[in-house]
Amino acid sequence: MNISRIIAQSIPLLKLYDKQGIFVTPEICMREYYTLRNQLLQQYSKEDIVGLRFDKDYRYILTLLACMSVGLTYIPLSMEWPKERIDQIQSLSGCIILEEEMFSFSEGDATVSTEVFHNDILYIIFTSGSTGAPKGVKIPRVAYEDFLVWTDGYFTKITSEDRMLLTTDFTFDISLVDLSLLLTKHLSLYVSHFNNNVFKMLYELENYKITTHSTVPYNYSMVMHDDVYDKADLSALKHIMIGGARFPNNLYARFQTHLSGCDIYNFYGPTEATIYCAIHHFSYHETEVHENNITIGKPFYHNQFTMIDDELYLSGPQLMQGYLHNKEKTKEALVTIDGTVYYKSGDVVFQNELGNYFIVGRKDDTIKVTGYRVNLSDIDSYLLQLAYISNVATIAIPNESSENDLVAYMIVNDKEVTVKQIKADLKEMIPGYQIPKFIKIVEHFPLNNSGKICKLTLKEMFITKK
Amino acid sequence: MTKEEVLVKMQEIFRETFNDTSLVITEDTNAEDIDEWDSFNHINLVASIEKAFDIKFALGELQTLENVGDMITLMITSKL
Repeated sequence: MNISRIIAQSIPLLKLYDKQGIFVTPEICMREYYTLRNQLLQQYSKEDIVGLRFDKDYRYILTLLACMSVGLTYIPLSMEWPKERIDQIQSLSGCIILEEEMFSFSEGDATVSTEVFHNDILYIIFTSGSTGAPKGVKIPRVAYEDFLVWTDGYFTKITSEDRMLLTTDFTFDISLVDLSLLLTKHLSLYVSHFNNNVFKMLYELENYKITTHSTVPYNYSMVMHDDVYDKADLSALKHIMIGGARFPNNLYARFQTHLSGCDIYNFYGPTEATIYCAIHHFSYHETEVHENNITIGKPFYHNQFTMIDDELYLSGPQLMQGYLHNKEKTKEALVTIDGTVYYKSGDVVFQNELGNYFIVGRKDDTIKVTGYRVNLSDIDSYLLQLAYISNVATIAIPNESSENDLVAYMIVNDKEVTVKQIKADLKEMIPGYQIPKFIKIVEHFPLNNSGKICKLTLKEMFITKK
Repeated sequence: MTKEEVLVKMQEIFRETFNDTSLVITEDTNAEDIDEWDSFNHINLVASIEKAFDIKFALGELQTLENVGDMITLMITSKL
C-alpha cells in the first residue's frame, strides 16, 4: 500500500466538516489540497522538516495529507502550546514552522500533480523526555502504511455511510486513527472543537449523529457519568475506539450497562510503535478483567509482543526508526535480540491463558495524564528552571477519571511567590497537561534512609490532607 | 431571583463542590482560577446547580458555559 496513491484516490471522496459543523464540499477540498500541495512542492525539498502550527480545523487535515502525499516529513504542533515548547522543538529538529497565513488555499495553481520527493520519515512526534527535553519519535512511511492496511481490513463494519467525530489534537498520534478511517473507509469526518467541555462534545455527538468515535478513556468516563449521559441521545453511536491511556474498570462496567449494542474496542500502543499495535473488541466476558485491569488484547497484523522480565517488548514493521538526533536514547529504547529489533515499552504486563495481555504497571516514572505521556523527572527539571524554586518532587496520584493528578511539592527561596504565579510561569514553558494540578510549597522534604526525597511519604501526605 | 441572589447561592455550591469554605467567586471566575475545576468537577458543578435551582439545562445551553457569569445568565433566563 502506497500512502501517496491512497491519498490521491481519497481526495475527491473526502467528506469533511469544519469545526463549525459546516460541510466543506469536495470541490473546495480538492482545490485547497492541490493548491497547498503544489506550494509545498515548490517551496520545500526532501531534506526539509516542517512543523505544522495550524488551527485545529479541516485545513490541518488537508495539510497533513499534503505532507504525507508529497513525502515531506512533518511535525504536528499545536496553537495551544507555549512559544517555549515550539522553540524547543524547532531547535531540536531544525524544522520550518508552517502557519496557515503562509499559504494561499483559494487562489493559485490547483493542477493535479503526482510529483513527490519521498522522505522515508513520514512524521516526527515529540513526547515527554526524562531530562526536560522532549524526544522526537521518527515514524517511517512503511510503518503507517502497515497500520493503514490493517485498519482497512479489520474494521469491516465501518463504511462510507459512517460519521466520525475528530476530538483528538493532531499532536497526539491517536488522531491518525480518524485519518486512517477517512482514507480507507471514506466516512464523514467532523472536526470537533469541544475544548474539554464534555457537554459540547456530547452536543456534537448527538447533533451530528456520530456513529464512530476514537478517543481517550477520560472523555468517555465523562460522557458515561450519571449526570451527563442522560442529557444526550447517543443512539447513533456504533463504534467506539478507546486508547492512549489505561482503560478504567468502572468505564468498562458502564459501557456494558449503557452501550452494550456498540462495538467497543480497547487499543494499546506507544507512539514508538505507530499509533497502536494491540486491540481488544469487548464481549464482556469475565476473562477480559484481571485484578481490576482491562485487557489490551493481542498484537494485531505484523506486530509482535515478547515478555522479558515481565516487561513488554514490541517488534514489527510499525516500530519507529529512532529518536531524532538522540542516539543514546534510541539505543536504550531499541534493542536487538537474536537479529530482531524490539522496542522496550517500559510497561509491565501479564498474559492470561487465552493469550490476552494486561498492563499492570510501569518500569520507570513515566505516567499518563488524560492520555498524554508525562515523565515526572521531566516536570521536575522544568520546575527547577524557575529561579525561585530550590528543590522539587513531582508525584502522581492515581484517579479514576484522568488516570493521574500531578502534584508538585517544592521548596521555594522567595517567600512572596504564589501558586498562581508558579502556574502562570509554567504555562509559558510547557503544555497544560504537564502542569501539576496541585502545587504544594513545603519547608522541607521527607527523606528516606538513603537521604533521597521519599515520594511514598509525599503521597501519603497528599492523600491524608485531602 | 436577582443576579446577586443567584451569585450568593452559587458561591455556596462552589464552596461545597471544591471543599473550600473561604472560596469567593465573581462573575468572571473560570476554570483557570480554581485548581480543582477540571472537567469532572465541571460536571459536578452543573449537577449541583441543577439540583439547587431545580432546573434541567439542555445540552445546547451547557455547551456554551465558560465562566460563573455565563452560568448565572443561563439560570436567570431558564427561570424566567
